[in-house]
Amino acid sequence: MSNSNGVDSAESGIIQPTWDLETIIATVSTNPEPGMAISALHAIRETLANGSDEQLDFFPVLPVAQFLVKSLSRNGTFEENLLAARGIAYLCESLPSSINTVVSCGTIPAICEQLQGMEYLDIAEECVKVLEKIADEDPLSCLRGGAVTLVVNLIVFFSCNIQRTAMSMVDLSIGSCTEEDASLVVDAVPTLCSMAKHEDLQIADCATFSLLNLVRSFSGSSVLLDELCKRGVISTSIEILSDLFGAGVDERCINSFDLLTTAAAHSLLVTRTLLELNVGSIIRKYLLLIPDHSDIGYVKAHVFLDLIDVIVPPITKDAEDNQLIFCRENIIRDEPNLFFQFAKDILSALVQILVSGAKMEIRYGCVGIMYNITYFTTSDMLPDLMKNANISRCLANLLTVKNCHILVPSLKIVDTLMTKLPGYCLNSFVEDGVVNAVDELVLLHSAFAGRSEARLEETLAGHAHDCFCDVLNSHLISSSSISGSCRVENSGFVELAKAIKATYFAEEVISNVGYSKTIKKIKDSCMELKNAVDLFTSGVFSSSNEANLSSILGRVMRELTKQDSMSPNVFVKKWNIENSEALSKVFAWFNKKISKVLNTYQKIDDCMPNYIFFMDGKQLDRSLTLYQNILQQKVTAKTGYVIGPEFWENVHKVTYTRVEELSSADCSELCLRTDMSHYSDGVALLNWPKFLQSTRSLLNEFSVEPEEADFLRDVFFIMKIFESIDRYSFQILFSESKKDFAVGKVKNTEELVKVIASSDVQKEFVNAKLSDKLEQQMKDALVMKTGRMPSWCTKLMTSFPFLISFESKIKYLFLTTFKSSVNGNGRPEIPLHEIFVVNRTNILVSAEKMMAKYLGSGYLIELEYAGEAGIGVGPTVEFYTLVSHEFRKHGLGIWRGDFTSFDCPAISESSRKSLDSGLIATCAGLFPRPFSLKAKSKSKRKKTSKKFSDVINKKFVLLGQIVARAIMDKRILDIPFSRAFYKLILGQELDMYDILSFDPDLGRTLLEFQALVDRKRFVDANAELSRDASIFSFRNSRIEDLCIEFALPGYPDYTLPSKRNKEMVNIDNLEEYVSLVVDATVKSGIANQIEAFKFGFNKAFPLEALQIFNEAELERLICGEATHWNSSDLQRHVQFDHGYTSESPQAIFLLDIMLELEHDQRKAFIQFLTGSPRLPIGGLGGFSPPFTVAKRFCLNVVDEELPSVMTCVNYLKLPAYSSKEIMRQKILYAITEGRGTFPFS
Amino acid sequence: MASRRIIKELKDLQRDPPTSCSAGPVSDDMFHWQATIMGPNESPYAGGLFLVTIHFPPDYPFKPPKIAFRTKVFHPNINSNGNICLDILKDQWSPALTISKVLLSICSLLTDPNPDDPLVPEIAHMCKSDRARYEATARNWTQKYAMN
Repeated sequence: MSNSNGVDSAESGIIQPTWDLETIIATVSTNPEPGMAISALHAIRETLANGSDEQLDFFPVLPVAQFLVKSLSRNGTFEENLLAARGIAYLCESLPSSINTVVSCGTIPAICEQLQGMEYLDIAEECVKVLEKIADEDPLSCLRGGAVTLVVNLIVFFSCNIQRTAMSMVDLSIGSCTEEDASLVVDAVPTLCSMAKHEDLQIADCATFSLLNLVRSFSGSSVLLDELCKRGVISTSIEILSDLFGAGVDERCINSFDLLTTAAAHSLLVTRTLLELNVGSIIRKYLLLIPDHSDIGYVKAHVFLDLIDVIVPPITKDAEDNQLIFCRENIIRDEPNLFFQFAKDILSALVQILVSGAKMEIRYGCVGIMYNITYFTTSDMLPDLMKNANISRCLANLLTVKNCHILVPSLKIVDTLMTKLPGYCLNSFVEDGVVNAVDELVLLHSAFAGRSEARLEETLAGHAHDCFCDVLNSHLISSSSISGSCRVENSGFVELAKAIKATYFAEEVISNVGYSKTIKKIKDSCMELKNAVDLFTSGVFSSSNEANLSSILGRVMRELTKQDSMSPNVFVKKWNIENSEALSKVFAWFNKKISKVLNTYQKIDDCMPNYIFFMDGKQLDRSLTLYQNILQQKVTAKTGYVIGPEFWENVHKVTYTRVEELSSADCSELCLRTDMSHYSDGVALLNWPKFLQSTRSLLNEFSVEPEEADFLRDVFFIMKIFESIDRYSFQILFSESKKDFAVGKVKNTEELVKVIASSDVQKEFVNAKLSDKLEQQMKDALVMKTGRMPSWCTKLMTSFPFLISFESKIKYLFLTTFKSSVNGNGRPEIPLHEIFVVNRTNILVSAEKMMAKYLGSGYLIELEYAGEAGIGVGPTVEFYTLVSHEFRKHGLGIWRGDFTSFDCPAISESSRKSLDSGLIATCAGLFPRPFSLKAKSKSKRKKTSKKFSDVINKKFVLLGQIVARAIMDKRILDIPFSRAFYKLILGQELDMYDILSFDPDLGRTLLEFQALVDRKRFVDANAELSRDASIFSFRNSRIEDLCIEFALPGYPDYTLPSKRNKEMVNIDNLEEYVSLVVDATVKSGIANQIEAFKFGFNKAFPLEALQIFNEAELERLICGEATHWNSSDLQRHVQFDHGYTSESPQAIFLLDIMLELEHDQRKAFIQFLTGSPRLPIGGLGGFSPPFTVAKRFCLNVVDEELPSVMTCVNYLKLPAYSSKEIMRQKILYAITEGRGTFPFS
Repeated sequence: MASRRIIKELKDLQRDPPTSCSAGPVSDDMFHWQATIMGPNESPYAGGLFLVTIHFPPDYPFKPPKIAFRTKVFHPNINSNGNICLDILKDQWSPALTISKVLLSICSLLTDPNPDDPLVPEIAHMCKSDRARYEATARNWTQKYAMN
């Protein structure tokens, strides 16, 4: 065929290169002159490189190959050899089909010979290229020809490019390696190991993969695996894993895990080595990524879990693996210390995953492994392990999961633990609710007993769509035969639960745990408390009732704070309450928490032996209650003392001091109130009887079974009281000192304001267990579908939101209000996107249009600016920022402090800057300016003011809409509302104290005025007191001398509703003045604006849904975290990728620089990165996708380039600057100059 | 509408002027005043005449007035924009204070600078470490900017 064709071509007159080459080769072989051979080699190269398709189609492969191989042999000159090697490479590349022929001509031995000699690097490099080509086609011959070891031995001499080619060749060859070829590659292993740690990612990847392939190929022979282990494969993989940690879970990391798993599954030596190398700590690190990163799916998670699973052998033995498993068990038994360390690391990580509520498949894997580990622990390890990881609490959680795949292993763990260490476990099981959960399971079964068995299975199956039986076994070759059917019988767990209950948790055992006496005491106290409270609220007011109530309360509290008080679960069990679990958790919390709170508020107690208490200079008797003490003092002071109302109304001052520091003058003062009902200033925040009543009715609603839940109701009741006390602690403290001032104990008003102290202990009230429980409930499939929570959740959220963590509250809000689950930090799953075009020059008008169109819709709005290319998340985020800034601009006339030429008096750098940008600078946050409805009598004025108020109200309607929409879309606004404004949003009524939060100057003065008013009242009521004018002086001036008009300060147009309008303020009209100013500032003057805001907000979703938050949390929800980060935040949340690792010098520079940025620069930095000047909810860690830094490759001089961003994915592209100083300059330039547009993407 | 309080303060100033300062509205705007302070004799500012602007906020006297030097002063608590670091002009303000009292406080600030709470750290440092040099520079500035 080729011949006839050749003749045709010859006839048509075209030079026939094929023929030509053959002739040349023939000539060369007869004429051994070196020059001839070289020109022949050149000709071959020419043809291969530049020949037409036709020429290549009929290329004389065999003769050329033979010729090339011959030329390659070492007898030739350097040039000849090099050209020959190159020729083969060309041949393989241009004509891949020729490779088999090339191999058959003995190329590989020839190349090996060359490599062995290693005389010339150039030739060796060409040889490597050829080998790579061949390996791609025919890896086995490469391998068997011995090329792998040769190449690997030479690899360090090659340039990086050739190293890559070499590694790829090795990788390809090893891919087909079998056990018989072991001797050919084993020697290459140490070099491969060092290559696997190579800086170049491609090389490292290849080497890691080769090692994995080797391990896979040798998995049939433990001898070979042991050999690999001895040559450092295992230790290398461990090193790689610990090096890679922090850079995310990439393929190389998964390969390394895979390698370890496969090796350990078949070699005992490997298992032992792993334990010796403390593999547990590394797996632990990776496992802990799971709860935080929702993107680690169960495939990745199982890569980690599989490794644990092979180290700790499964207990259900398959016949084939028996021998191996047996040996494995021996390792664990022989090395208890290694295993203990391993178990400690792994168990605590598993517990964290399990309570975090990871995917069901992952949890299933975790429980199984947990069971295996507990099976092998010895009873002397257990107490430490359980303490370290809080296993019993985790088990209690697991036992509530309605899925038999989780339940069965969980119950088995309970069983195992009880067998090993009955005493210790019983205690902690009782305390943490495991016993109770087991009971529940048994009950669940008996509840269904009357009906058909199928119903029960149905209920459970409803939650278990998938069988997880096979999830874990994917790596075991022996289990490939698994039938695919579920091996867990649905009702199997009931039998297990019954057995456990019968064996370990028998009624008499539990009741003997030793709490009964305390319980009885508390129960009795609670009954008393309940009766007393009933009596009190029923309207029978008498001081003895009050005394009784207070002493019972104190007694209950003391019981609860005792160290060895009863276990809540035993308690709850006795009462056999529905939802006992949830309530028991509250109880457990309360048990712990109340002691804390108690220490804050009622500092006389047996548990405070370090303090001595005084009243009126006399030391108090520690054996008596505080009430008794005070009474005693009164009686000794005045014979025939009767407890009248004044006993409860007066403040009894108790001072205390530390015993060790008796001599020091450092005596703090603590006001202890016996009654909180009488506030002369009308604050009446803690109107005691009223408060009791409202709390009680609330609790009645909350309880389940009236008789039995009484105790818990009382517990809730006390908690609610403490929470309120905490909330109003400032008011309480201030009223105290104000009273002292009124009666003359405090001389000057200046001293009053010194009590100002704010506490932020609201977080202390959050109960982790209860939050966990709620989160679990929210993961229930039915709840997720419908967005409807069980009634206990709703009631808990409406009445006791302070018990729940902020994160759980957000999830609850999204689930119940928008019927969408929030996965991790992601956005609610709203399917439809809408694009809306915004005009940059008139943001507010655009915002209004947008709200009118989409406000209530479920669409996710994406924005685009007219005339700009950017679209998507970045511009949308920026839009909310721009709208926020519009609302903060001077001249809008809706906020306090918006007097065009004045700003906040504090002249800090930051406020000056914001003044430059035309934004209202507020130290304390924005608050609506008062606006009078009743305008002055002139009709013209009335009209304009009416019109004006319409404009204002429209703005607030829009603001309400924007805030609501921002919450729905999880966007963040850059509006610094004051705390008081958040209170208004939450529907709370403000009072004088709240003025301090947005206008401290005015607030302070008003409080001082109020104190003067109180003093005047006191003096007026006591005629015998001196009426000297000086006692009514305000900071040494008479009120009249202040020359204050009877008008709203700063707003002369506002008409105070009083006849005194033309007067000046004096001591006689001061009371009316203060109350009118307060009313105008925080009540009637802003009521319309707030109504408008609420109106706008409610169009999107009901404002009531926000009631579960407090002011601080609402601020976090609307405005995001403050721009706060520290070095550990940075280490954890900034990822480096694409050219950088966390060890790169540039990475270290960047983190240093970020840490050194000032507040405003940080804001600018975040704005540069994301388009919004605030961090998302959750701070730096809240970015989704995570904040990632990549290398920006530059064409020109690196140090002259600027960093750039992709705002949609939170990506910072950073050139590899040569020094930190240059990087700082460039970053600062970019973040200050690059604002406002999206030019770099 | 001018505040009656401001008018009263103006009258009081006119009736009973303080020894080393004077103050009054710049034009018709009662909320915008100008004042002069004579450098206290026992200070490096002696002999100088310092111009000061005063802006009253609309909610005066509940908020402090805004006061700034128009003449350049070398002083640890006064910066190059003329801003003054004085507690009674910030969080220690009280409606019981008046412009007259505030101006007197500024005078005593000139006599006794407070380098521990400085607005200009460099001057504060000099004031603490090399008092003579500080006083010389302050005198020099006074001569240059406050005497003509």
